[in-house]
Amino acid sequence: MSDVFLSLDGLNKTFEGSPAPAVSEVSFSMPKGEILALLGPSGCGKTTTLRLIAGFESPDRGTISIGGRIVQSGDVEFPPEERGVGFVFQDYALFPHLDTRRNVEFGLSRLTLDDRRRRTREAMDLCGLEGMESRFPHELSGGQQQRTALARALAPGYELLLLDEPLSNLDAALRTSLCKELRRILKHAGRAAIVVTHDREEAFQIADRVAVMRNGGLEQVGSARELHDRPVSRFVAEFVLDATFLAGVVARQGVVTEIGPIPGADSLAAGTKVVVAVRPQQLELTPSPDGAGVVVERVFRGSHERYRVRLPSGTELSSFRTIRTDASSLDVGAPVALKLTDPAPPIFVE
Amino acid sequence: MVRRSRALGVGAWLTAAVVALPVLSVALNLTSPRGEVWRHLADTILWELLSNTFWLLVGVGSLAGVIGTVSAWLVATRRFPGRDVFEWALVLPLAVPTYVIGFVFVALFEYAGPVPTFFRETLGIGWRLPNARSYGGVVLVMSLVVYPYVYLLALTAFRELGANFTEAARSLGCRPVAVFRRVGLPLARPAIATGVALALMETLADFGTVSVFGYRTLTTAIYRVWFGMFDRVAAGQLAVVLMLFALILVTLEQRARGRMRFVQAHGRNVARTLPPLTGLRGWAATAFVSGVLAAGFLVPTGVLAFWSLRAAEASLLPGNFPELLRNTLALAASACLLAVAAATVLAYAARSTRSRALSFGTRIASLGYAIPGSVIAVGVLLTLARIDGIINTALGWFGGFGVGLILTGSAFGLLFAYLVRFISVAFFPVESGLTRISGSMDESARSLGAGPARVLGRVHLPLLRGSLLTALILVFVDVMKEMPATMLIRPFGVDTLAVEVWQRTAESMWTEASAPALSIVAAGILPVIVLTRLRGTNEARL
Repeated sequence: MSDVFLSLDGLNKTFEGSPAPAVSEVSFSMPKGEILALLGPSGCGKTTTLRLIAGFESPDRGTISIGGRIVQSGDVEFPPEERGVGFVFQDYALFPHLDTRRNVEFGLSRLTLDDRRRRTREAMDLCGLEGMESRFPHELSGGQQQRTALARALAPGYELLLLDEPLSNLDAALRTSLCKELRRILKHAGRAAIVVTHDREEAFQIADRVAVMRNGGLEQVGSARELHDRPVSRFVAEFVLDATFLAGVVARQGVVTEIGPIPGADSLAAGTKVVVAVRPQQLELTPSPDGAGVVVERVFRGSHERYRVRLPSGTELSSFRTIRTDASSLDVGAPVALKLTDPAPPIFVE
Repeated sequence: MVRRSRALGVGAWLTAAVVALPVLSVALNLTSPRGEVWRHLADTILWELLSNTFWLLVGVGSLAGVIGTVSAWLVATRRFPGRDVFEWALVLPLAVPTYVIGFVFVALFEYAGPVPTFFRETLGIGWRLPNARSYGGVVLVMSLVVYPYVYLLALTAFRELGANFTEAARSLGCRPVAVFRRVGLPLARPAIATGVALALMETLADFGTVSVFGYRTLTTAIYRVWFGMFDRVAAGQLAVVLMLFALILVTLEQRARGRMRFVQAHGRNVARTLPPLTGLRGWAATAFVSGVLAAGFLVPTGVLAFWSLRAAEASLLPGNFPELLRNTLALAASACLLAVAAATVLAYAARSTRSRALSFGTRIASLGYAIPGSVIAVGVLLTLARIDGIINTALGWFGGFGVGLILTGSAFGLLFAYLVRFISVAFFPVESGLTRISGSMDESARSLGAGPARVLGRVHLPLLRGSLLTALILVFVDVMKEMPATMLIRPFGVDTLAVEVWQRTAESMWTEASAPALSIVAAGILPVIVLTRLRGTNEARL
């Protein structure tokens, strides 16, 4: 990438009194205008990473540069107000003593009055806040508070926005619509953004690329399709693809498993123990009296059913089955035959 | 249930009425004919008293406000050497009664005191320190022990704002000082105002400090008019004026409290470290708060300890020290039991009935904390004198002999005054303890077959134990520290530690006053610990 806008290099942070690092050896970079999602389970260090970039926390080690300026490296540490980075907090942190307009205007105090008015106007219009100028935060709905927080962070014109779980305080219906809205606004304003979330769907809807984090480390960065097609670890496969895993041993022709041979693993030596990630939509179940598996759970999911099937070894696999009116469901306890339709399932060495 | 709540209602009304009586009898003085002494007062020193009192409040309010707010902001938002210790230690001056720190500073800084002497001897005769017995001296010394009210409330407010607001402001380009000015201060203003109002109530009630400093205020005037001129009406009228000051403070406090709700915190706990104040600025912060702490607590208690030892060596300890201690403890113990019992009745009544009239009565009864001890003393004396008069007249009708001042002259009057003054101190913890016992708890216990007595014993008492204990300790120590009402009402010959401190300091016998004063401070640390612990558990629960 020639036009790197933000780059993180070897960031480390361990909180006092905590045995494990909150962030360890995190490095990535992103170009101007890109939207990146930091995805991971709670406590994986994604929020801390965000706070390190904003300058709210000091890393133990590592370098951060924003727009070609090194803001964090060794003894160099720019305070938050000199980094030129907008931040949207999970609870919005709107100033309760200021109305919407003055909240949005807060970061513009160095401009002339006219510029201030114009920038505030623009940010509020972009975020759909017309008519809300004189409302106080407690008079706004959750969605409006969210928009105000976004407008406030956009108004100063920073090239980079950091959003910490921006939608987690909203109800499900609003979340879906604001998700698209958020992307539209960010793209329209042409700002780069990092969005922290633990919600996979949200990450894929908002972001151009997704960075998956686990235990303070970065597992994989890529587009949704890249993550889906080539997960680099068992964790990513499980977290991003909902995959379940099947143990096997590498043989001359593919991998020998409980449900038969599976192609792949050509580069591995014969005899290596591996696990095969099974994408649930690519595991086909057919009722069969002498099938290897038994259905142990069935959950209706609208367009499909999710089955859990137990193999003789005790391993359980998931399978999605599209619901069709011309086919009946499988009952719990029914014996089934399993067939993996995935031509190249991800295989990880144990 | 119906009958019980009616009995409770009657009890509550009686309590409220008894507590409100002295305040009302002071208020009645407003209309009674003005005596000679009053006219004389109005002609001569009334304006001086009013303006002295007013400027004392202005001075202490500003200084304590600044000290409390700045130290709370530093502790709440920044890391600097010693921060974790200062966080709780800054509350300690609350344990030092104003009259104790007052006399210690006068003793240290008077012309022949150790500090000016040291300066004269090392820097030569011509070098002079400003006179301690001055307006500035009173304001400084009072502020040093009442600022913790502001500190505590502001600290809670800054904490509740959460670091998010600070961080949001900084990410929008604000420097730390601008964050304080544009976000911290406006948001914490109601909390700071409440703290200042509480600090000023303490200031207004003070009697010992102002008299040691020779600074004439309404409180000292009441005492002088009462004892020097024996004019009860004039004293009563001065008390009315003082009460008006107090009521203004209460109004300010309640309004500020009302606005505190408007800032609501719903921040989650993000792992975070406070940004450090590095280098010189960090040490400047440490120097500021340790200066405050040294002047408000360490120096006074250190000096008291030193003098107590010296007094012990020179056998200058008051000979009647055991008796003083016994009197003080007996009074404090009976007063705290009485006040907590009355407060419990009020709190239960407030819980079980929704009568507006009763809740108004409860409010009146809980005003005691704002009304200076000297006003209450005057009110109690006027009330009891009237009742004594009625008793004696009635006995006279039946051909008997007058029994004299059976109420006014006994410990009864003193306990009555303590009850009026401190019932609110007991009421708040008991009430907040009761709010944790929901009505459905009673109902579920009843449905499980427990009678009212069993509900009380098995459900309420265990849940209320902590609150009751807190209330007892708080009242106990407040009674130990109380000076002006005790001075005015105590039965002849009954001395307490506080009275001893006053009598010795009035004669400038600093060394002799130090041991009783130190005992009071030692007892005063107790509620500080209780309150700090309570705050801790509150935060944990939230």
